Amino acid sequence: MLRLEKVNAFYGHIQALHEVSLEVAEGEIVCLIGANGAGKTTTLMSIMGVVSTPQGKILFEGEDITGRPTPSIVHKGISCVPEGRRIFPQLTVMENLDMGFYPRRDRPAEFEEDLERVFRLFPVLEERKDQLGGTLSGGQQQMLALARGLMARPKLLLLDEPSLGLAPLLVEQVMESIVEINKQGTTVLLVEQNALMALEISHRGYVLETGTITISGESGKLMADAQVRSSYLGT
Amino acid sequence: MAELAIVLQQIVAGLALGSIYGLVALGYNFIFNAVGIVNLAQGDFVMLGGYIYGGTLTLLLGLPFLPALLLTAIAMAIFGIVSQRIVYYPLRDAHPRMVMLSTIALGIFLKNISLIAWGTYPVSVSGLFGQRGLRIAGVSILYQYIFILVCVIILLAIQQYFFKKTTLGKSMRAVAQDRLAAMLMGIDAYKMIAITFAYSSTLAAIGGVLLAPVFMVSQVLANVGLKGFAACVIGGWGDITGAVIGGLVVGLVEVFSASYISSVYKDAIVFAILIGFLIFRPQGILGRATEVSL
Amino acid sequence: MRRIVGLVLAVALMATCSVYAADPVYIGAMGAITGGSAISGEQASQGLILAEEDINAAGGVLGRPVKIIMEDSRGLPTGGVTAARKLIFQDNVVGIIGCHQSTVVMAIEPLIRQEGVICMAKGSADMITAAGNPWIVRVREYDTLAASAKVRHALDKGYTRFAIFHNTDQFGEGGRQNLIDALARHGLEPVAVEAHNTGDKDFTAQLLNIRRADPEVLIVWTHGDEHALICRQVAQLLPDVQYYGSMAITQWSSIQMAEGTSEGAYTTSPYSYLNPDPDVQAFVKRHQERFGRPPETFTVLYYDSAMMLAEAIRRAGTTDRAKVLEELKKIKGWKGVSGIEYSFDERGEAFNELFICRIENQQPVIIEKVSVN
Repeated sequence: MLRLEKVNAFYGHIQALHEVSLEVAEGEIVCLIGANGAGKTTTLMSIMGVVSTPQGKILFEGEDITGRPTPSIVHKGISCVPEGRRIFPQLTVMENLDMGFYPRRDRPAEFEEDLERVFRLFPVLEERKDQLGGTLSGGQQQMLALARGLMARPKLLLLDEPSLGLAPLLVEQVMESIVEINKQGTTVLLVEQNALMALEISHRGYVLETGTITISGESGKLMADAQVRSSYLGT
Repeated sequence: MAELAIVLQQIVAGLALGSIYGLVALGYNFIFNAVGIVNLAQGDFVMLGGYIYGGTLTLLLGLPFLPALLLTAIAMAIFGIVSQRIVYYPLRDAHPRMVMLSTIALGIFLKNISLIAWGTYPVSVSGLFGQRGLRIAGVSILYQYIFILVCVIILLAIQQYFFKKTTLGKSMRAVAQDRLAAMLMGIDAYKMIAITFAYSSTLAAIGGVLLAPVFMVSQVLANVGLKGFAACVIGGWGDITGAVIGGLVVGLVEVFSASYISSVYKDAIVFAILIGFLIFRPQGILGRATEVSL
Repeated sequence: MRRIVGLVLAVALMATCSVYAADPVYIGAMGAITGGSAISGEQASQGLILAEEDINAAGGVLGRPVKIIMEDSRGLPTGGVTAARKLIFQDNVVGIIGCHQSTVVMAIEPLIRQEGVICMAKGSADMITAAGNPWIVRVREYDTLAASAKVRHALDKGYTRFAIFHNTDQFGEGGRQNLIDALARHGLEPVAVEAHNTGDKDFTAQLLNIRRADPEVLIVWTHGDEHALICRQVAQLLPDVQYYGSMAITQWSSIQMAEGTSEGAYTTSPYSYLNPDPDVQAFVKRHQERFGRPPETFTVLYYDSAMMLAEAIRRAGTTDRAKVLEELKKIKGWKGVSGIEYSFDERGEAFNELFICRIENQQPVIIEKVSVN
């Protein structure tokens, strides 16, 4: 579904990604793990067209989307739940969800249906639908960010550090909902520092080190890999 | 009885002035809500709208009110998009303070250009109502003032509806709050910002058209921008109802302080209150809005 | 050989001198071309353009053409000083016509005195000639003259309750004091005195305070833009009060801006474009054809000043400023295109007569001519 071929990415003159190649097949949860600053977020931002990628190719459903403007990539069916959640603090929960629905605004009839779906996943959002986004707790904001991403009914959902800053109990809850989202038919590319969690719920994984993919394979195998264990799982 | 009539007249005058300031404040708030910056040339936009309507379309071309209003609105919308491209877009990734500085420069430019284009004589147009007005129990009200108040209420309602109910309005607010996140929602942020400038320039155009018959159009007209700014601070930045309430407060303060404290220092009193708000209550009267970073 | 070189050099030098001698005689002028009172500067410039043409058409002065250099005072004391320094030190002008604002004239007064340059002031505040600067003469009605003429006219009509509404600048403050003095000479005091700033747009508060005092007459002492708006608001708030305006309300532009609300107002003025005097009408016609509107007061006053200064240079036979000033002050009974006969007195005042005008059918109709003595 998504393929990156030898992608180089730059922030100004600083090269953040070195020939990164990865693939996500339809129906999968693929995780991208790595230390802080390894280039995980940059990879997602490159896919979304936010970071410039002068070399390499990004293909989505066989179509070259390299260098396309962000809104057109979103309209193709990729949604991104960015790092730090970035919900709209001065919009209500409902309005935030409405913004998530933006790529499909020409089909207002489906709005209610999608709303029900995300409310089933995150019932707390329904309780707080008229509250301003900025007044929600961290966990609720993360749920809102996920729900907002789902409102676009994306084919591929990019998740950037969904567990960051959450209490362990909430982390588990969020991970469960990711599995649930995937089961309902959304392909997921998950970026996580919490490697154990990420590997537990994903089918396959990539390890990113200073802008280069070093190890990749099925999640189960990665969890058994000695190097991964010592560097990322702390065992 | 005579005294009552005088006090009523003062209130009418304060509300009339206040609705003008509220109208200008709506224009400020529109851009603030969409881009998170304060367009410090808003008063000059009002002046420019007044000149296009009064100086060019009405006096030079002799157009009647409605076509002149319409053409002014269109001209100002285009002007808004162009000025957005020149003043905002190149600085889109800079600190908002830089953009505000560049709007100040735009304001100075507009004052000088208008001097060259329309000369030094104030442009005087009659509008729909000229100097005609109502007189009830010793209180006189110009029809033009009633017209302004009605327009402000209608525009307030439209703006309120627009930002709260329409997808376009909500996405504009989203762009203002987090441009990257908005783009990740598929919103074309720069198109939204261009629309924002176009609309707020149109608001300024309406302001200029409504003000021309009462204040005439000259470079001094741009000073209503300062009062509109004060109205925004007092009403709370980004708060649409607050802007109109802030405008009415400024109008009333101006008239009553001129009557009972000092007519010479009435502007100083308004700005002292403005500074007081900035220090002690930066969120404004209604206290809902976020702080503006200046 | 050396001698020959010296001779050639001397001849060359003399030749250069004679080229300079054919250079124009410079006359300076200043007015607000930008800023809050920018209208006045534009009016003045138009008068000067016509004056320069007329002087040169009559052969210039001393066999040389005249060039009038107009500088922008921006209506500010600082702007006036900058303009005056430029005219004096760079252009080496014989004299400066203007400024039309008393504040600006007072700001350049020390420089005028120090450098010995003729200044034909257009500000009306009494202090301009009271400063005792021998280089300053005034070609405009002065405030005491205007104030006493207004008060006397109103008293003649039987009014006794006077309210004053004045600008807070030097012009307005001077006018307020002159009115109070003029009333005091008749044993009266104003029932209300209110003030406003230049650039103000809304005067409701002050006009309502005046309404509380229930006056019969309102004397307004301010400039053109404010005057038009005050007329409009007085028509709303004080419809029954007899309005006396400053000279500015007779201006064609001001009458247009007032949109009929200045109807019936009286004022004192050195000029009206309705003056049937053929000299005035000839000038009005010419100005109308050239600039598309009748000349205003500052147009004719700047024009007359330039013409008188040129005449003084001719009579003096030199551009020596002291001699020109001497000749200028000898001018008596000079008929200007304003309709006024100018005669300079020992204080340097050219005015000793003035018109009382009334706005009728949107036009400043001359009611009578009043004289100081």
